[in-house]
Amino acid sequence: MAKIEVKNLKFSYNNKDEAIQDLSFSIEEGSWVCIVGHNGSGKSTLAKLLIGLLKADSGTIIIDGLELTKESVHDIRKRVGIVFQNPDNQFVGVTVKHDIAFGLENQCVPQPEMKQLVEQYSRLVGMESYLDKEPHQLSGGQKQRVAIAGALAMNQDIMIFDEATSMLDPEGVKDITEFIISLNKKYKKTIITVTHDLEFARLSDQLIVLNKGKVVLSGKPDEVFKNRDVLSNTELDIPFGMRVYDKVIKDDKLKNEKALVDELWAYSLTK
Amino acid sequence: MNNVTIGQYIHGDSWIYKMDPRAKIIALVLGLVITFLVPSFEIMAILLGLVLIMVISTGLPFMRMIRGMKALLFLLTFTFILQIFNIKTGTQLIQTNMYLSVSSIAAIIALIILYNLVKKRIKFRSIAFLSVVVIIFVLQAYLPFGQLMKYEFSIYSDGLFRTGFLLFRIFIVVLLSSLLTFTTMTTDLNNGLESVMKPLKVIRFPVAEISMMLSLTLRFIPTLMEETSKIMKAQASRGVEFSESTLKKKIGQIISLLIPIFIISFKRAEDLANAMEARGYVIGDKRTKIDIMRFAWLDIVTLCLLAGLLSLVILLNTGVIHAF
Amino acid sequence: MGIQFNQVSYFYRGVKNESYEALNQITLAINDHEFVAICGQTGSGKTTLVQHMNALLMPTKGEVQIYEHTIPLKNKKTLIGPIRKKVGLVFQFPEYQLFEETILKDIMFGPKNFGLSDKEAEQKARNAAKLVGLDEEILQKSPFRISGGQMRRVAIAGILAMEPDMLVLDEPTRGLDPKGSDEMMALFNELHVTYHKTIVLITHDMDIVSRYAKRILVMDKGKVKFDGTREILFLTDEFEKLHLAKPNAYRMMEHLNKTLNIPFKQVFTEEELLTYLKEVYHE
Repeated sequence: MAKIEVKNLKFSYNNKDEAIQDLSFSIEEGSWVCIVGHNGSGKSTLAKLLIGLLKADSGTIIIDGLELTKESVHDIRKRVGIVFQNPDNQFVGVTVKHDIAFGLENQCVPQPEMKQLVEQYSRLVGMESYLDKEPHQLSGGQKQRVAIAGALAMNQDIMIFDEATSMLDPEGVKDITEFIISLNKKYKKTIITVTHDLEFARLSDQLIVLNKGKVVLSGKPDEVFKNRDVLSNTELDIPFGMRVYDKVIKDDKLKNEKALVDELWAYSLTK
Repeated sequence: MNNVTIGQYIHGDSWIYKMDPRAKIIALVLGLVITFLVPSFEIMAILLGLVLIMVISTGLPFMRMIRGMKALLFLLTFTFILQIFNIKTGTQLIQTNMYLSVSSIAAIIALIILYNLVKKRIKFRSIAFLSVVVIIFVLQAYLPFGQLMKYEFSIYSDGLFRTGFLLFRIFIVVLLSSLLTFTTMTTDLNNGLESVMKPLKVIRFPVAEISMMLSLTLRFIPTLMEETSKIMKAQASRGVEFSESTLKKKIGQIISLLIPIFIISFKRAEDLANAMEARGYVIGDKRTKIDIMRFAWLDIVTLCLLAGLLSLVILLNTGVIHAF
Repeated sequence: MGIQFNQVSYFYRGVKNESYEALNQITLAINDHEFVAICGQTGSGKTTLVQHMNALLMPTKGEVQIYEHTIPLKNKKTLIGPIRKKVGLVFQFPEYQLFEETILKDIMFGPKNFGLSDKEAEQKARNAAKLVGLDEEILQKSPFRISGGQMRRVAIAGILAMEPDMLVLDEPTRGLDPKGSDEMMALFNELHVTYHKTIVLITHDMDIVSRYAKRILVMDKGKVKFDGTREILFLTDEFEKLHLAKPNAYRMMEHLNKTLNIPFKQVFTEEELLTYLKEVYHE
């Protein structure tokens, strides 16, 4: 049984344009899936649908064997954590300690246990000496770390990152990206990252490319990236390494230089 | 911009910092009730003495607490003068003729103008203000030239006692309230208030929701201040001079500041609601809290003492016990 | 003329009244018609530096000569307006400063504040809108009913309509997708080349820096640690300490040099790299 199963999902805002048109995919437990698409492709809508903030017009979402319905949404939210794009607009607590505790308070976790969990997970994200700090004293990257700690403390197996690094400076992006990778590799969480950054997406286990609400490509990154024509229609920016590779194999003289071509292909997938 | 912290909390570790916030809030209420039930000047003076001893025992910086009074200086002076003129019982202490004359009025106007010109450069503004008020009366007593109107000015002992009573009362109220706000962190205050107001749930008053709203407001005030500052700078870069004087321009300036902040706030509200819901927050559902509040002997003793004091004052009022 | 910093230091106060030094004795000249990029980590002082350029901040020590004006102002009566008109500063995420009913009115806001009549301001606004690539039809729309990328262009048009001699931009491509980013940089390049504007750009994107900037300033802890061209920047011994990335083409070149033994040449853009590869392999 896949961890997450989406079947024939349809959704439109105000019944006008269809934001999501007949979407189907599945995600295995412990894998890292990257949902990519340009702005307006439906990727953020999808993240909100998965967590029940939006209600699909039709289709099913099954998470951990449980179908997402009005009755089950509270249960689903116990199993799925989400980190949003704007570090400030999801920071609820007056201090770091209070924000990490927020989800636990909602689940009526007893106070002694909460205290211990807050300390433990603040340590895990490196924010243990910031517990009494207020959010305006923190950088964007630090605030996102607090958000991650809060989700980890809830012991959720599945974590969604909805463009979680878009508003950060380069240090913050590097920081959070490393965290996401370790959450998957070290802590074995099932991770869904929603992004428009194909460079980042290359590192994932599975890539789902959305264009205008439909899945246009799905599979392992190196397979997906072979389909250049489809990719260029999605308005996504092809990573630098691949652009150079594409230009080289189109050049009459260069395309026959096997060593160069092979090296460029390898580079385009890893660097 | 890291130099803003929410609230007026001053760090410390004396006995008052160890009190449960709920006890402090109830103690404040009891203290205020007692203050307003005190019947006479002598008892008010004793009460003030007790409060002062308590404030000193907490180790709080006294001058900071007095600052609250400075803001009320004008009101207090006005009250003083009104009471002095009205009460004509007790022993007469001063009696003079006061003249509203061309010379005295001219001198008073000159003094006021001088004060307004100089006031920005004076350090001890409160003292200067009081001096000006006293001089206004002295001038009326000693400048009868060009007399327009004459009236009799007298100060009676009862007037002084009455004014003292009112002033001391205000002073005590300011001190007690400051005691609470200076020694309690805003999160603790919020938790304490929420707990104390719990009985209101019976009449369907949304105590927990109001507490959450307060908490969110406190959390976002510094963030909003920073954002306002950024927008001000952005608009200043577009030629807005925030010290501009014409009303029309000022309205334009404020709009250029308010609308962006509103837009940011509405988007924030939407995002926050999504985040809170996604993290399992349901309005009306029971929640635990990471902050603990625990009643200790200190709280019980303090409240008992205050309850005792309250009973004493009530008995005094009803004449069961006589003082002095 | 341009801007001249003379031993400028800037301090500000923290929570417990402690003093922080954001700028440490900066002496620096930015001349007319330059295209300068300012790089450095968060907290290095870049934003503080550029906010002195249009007199939003006053130096705690030293002075800044901004064209014919000097700050700190000697005479308290001097109006700041003329300085702000000469040096147009565009903040990060400038779309947040939009507020008017229509896009045209918003772009007119700046010029009107500097004393232009409605008619003159409208003319300047229309010119600026055209410059940033906004269609005529969009001008009557509300600035809140367009995409984020368009909003940003409206905000920049709002500054351009003031017709500043110098344009200072704080991370103008942050949050934009690559296509939007390219279009924005092409605009600034055109302003530089065709309209002879002086451009000062804060950015983290080393690809942008090496493609467009003729001069690069790198800041660290309130001081200017590097001031020179891109060629010298990437070859300097101190490069590691500057905490900067290298442009994509440069890194690929280093990689190919190491793995395929292609002789190393400094290339900064995709086009330069490809041209060089063709040269190398066509022998």
